Amino acid sequence: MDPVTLIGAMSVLAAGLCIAIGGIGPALGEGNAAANALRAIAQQPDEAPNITRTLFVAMAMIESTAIYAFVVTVLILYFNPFWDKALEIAKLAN
Amino acid sequence: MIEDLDHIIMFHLGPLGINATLFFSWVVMAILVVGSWLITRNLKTTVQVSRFQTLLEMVVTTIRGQIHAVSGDNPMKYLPMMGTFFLFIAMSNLLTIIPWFKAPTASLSTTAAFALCVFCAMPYYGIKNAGIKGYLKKFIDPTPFMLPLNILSDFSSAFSLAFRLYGNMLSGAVIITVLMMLAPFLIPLPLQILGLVTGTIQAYIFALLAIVYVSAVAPNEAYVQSDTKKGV
Amino acid sequence: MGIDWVTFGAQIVNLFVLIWLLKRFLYHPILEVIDKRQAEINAQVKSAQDAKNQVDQEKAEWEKEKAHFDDMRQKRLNDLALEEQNLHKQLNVDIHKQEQEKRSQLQQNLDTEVKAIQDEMRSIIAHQFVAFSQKLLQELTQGTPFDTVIQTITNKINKLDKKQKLELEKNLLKQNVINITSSNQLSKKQQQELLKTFKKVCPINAKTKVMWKVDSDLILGLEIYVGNSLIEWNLKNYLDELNYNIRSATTALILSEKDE
Repeated sequence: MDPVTLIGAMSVLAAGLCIAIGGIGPALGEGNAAANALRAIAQQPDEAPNITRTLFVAMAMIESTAIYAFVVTVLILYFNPFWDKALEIAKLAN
Repeated sequence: MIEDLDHIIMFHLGPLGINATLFFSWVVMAILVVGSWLITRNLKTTVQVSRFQTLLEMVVTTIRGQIHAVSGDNPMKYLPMMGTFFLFIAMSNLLTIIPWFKAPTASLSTTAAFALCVFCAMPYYGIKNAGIKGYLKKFIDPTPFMLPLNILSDFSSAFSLAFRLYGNMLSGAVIITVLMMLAPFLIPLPLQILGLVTGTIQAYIFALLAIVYVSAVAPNEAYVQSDTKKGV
Repeated sequence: MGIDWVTFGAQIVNLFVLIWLLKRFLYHPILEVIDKRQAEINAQVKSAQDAKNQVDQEKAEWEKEKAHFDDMRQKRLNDLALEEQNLHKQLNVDIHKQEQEKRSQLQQNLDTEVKAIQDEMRSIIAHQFVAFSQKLLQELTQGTPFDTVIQTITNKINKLDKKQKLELEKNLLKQNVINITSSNQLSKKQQQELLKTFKKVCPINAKTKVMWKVDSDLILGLEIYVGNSLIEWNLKNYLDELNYNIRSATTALILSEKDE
C-alpha cells in the first residue's frame, strides 16, 4: 500500500477509535453523576434547583474529556498535517 | 460535507461578503432588540400587565436569580453580559426550527469569540472584585505547585466552553442534514426535537459556566440581597 | 471547520453591540419597572401597616375607656345595691313599727270598746235597777204622808254637829238664801214646822229668803240647800247611792274577773 493510502486509512481509523473510546469514559461518568444527583433530589426535594444547577456544572466538567476526544477526532479528520504532507508528496511525485 | 457556515456567502455588502454566520447573527440580534424595544415602549407598574411584559420580567428576574444563586454576589455586575450570552445562544438555537435558518453558534468563529470574551472577563472581574493581589492569589491556592495547573485550567475552561457549544450545535445540524438525505419524511423529527432540547440546555450551560468562571474570585465585601429582590 | 478571523472579529463586535442594546432596551427598563412596582407595594403595605397600627392604638384606647366605664358602672351598681339593701332594711323597720303601732292602737281601741261596752252594760244594769226601784218607790210612796219625812229631816237637822252648824251659819251669812226642794208640795203647816226646826240650828232672820221648790224626781224627801251645805233626806239619794253601789260592785266584779 502506498503511503498516501496508508496515512488516509490510518487517519480514518484513528479518528473513529478516538471518538469511540474517548466517549466511553465521559458517558459513564455523566451517568454516574446524574444518578447521584437524582438520588440527592429524591432525598431532599426542596433543594432540587440547587442540585440541578450543580449537576449541570459537574456535567460540563466531565464532558470536557469527551470534548477533547472530539477535538482530536476533528483535527485528525480535517486538520491532519500528515495527510496534507502525504498529499503534497504524492502531488510532487506525480 | 460538513456545512461550513463561514464560507456560505449570503450577499455582498460593498466589498465584503457577508457570510451566513454573520447574517444569521444579525437576524437573531434584530429579533432580540426589536422585540425588547416593542415591549418596553410602554411599561406599566400596575398588577395587571400585558403578557409580553410579564414574559420579559420573568426572563430577566430568572436570570438575575440564577446569577445570584450561583455567584452569591451582586447580580447586577454580571447580568448584562451573562444575560446576553444566554439570550443570544438560546434564541439562535431555538430558531433552528425555522427552515433555512442556520444557527450562528454552529460556527466555531462565534463560539470561539464568545469563549474569548469569557476568558478576558475572568481576570477583569477578578481584579474588579478582589484587586490584583486577590486575583493572582487564586492561582497559588492551595499550594504554589498548582500554579501551572491552575493557569492551564483557566485556558481549558474557556476552550471547552467554545468547543462544547460548537460540537453540540454542529452535530445537531449534521445529523439532520444526513437524515434529510437518507430518510426525509418524519424520521428527522425526533432528532430535531433532541436538537432543540440540547440547544437550550447548552445555552443554559454556557451561561452558567461563564458565571461560575467569572465569579470564581469572591469580592471583598459580601453582598447581602435586599428584601425587594428576595427569592428572585 | 476552522476559524475565520474576519467572522471572529465581527462576532466579538456583534456581542458588545448586542450587550449595549439589550442593556438599553431590555435590562434597565424591566428592572426599573420591577423596582417601581416593589416600591409601590412596599408603600401600600406600609400604609396598611400604619393604618393597622392606628386602628390598634385606637382600639387600645377604646378598650381602656370601656374598661373605665365598666368599672364605673360596676361601682354604681354596687352602690345602688347597697342603697337598696339599706332601703329594704329601713322599710322593714318602718313597716314593723307601723304594724306595732297599729296593733297597739287596735288593742287600745279594743280595750276602750270593751270598757265602753262594760260601762254601758253597767249603766244599763244600774239604770234598770234604779228605774225599776224608782218606779216601785214612786208607786209605793204615792199616798205616803209627808209627816214622817219631816220627822226624819227634823231628826237629821237636830243631829247636826257643831261644825256643820257653823258652816250653815257661815253660808247663811254669805247669802241669805235657803233653797228647800221637796218631792211633794208642802202645806203651810209643814213649812212652818220645818223652819222652826231650822231656826233651832241656825239663825234665820226675817230677811232670809226661803225658796220652796217641788221636784218629783226626789220621789220622797227633802233637800235643803244653804249655799254649799246640803241637808237632805230623800229616796233619790238612796237610789243614787244604790246606783253608785251597783256600779262600783260591777266594776269591782269585772276587774276581779279580769285579774283572774
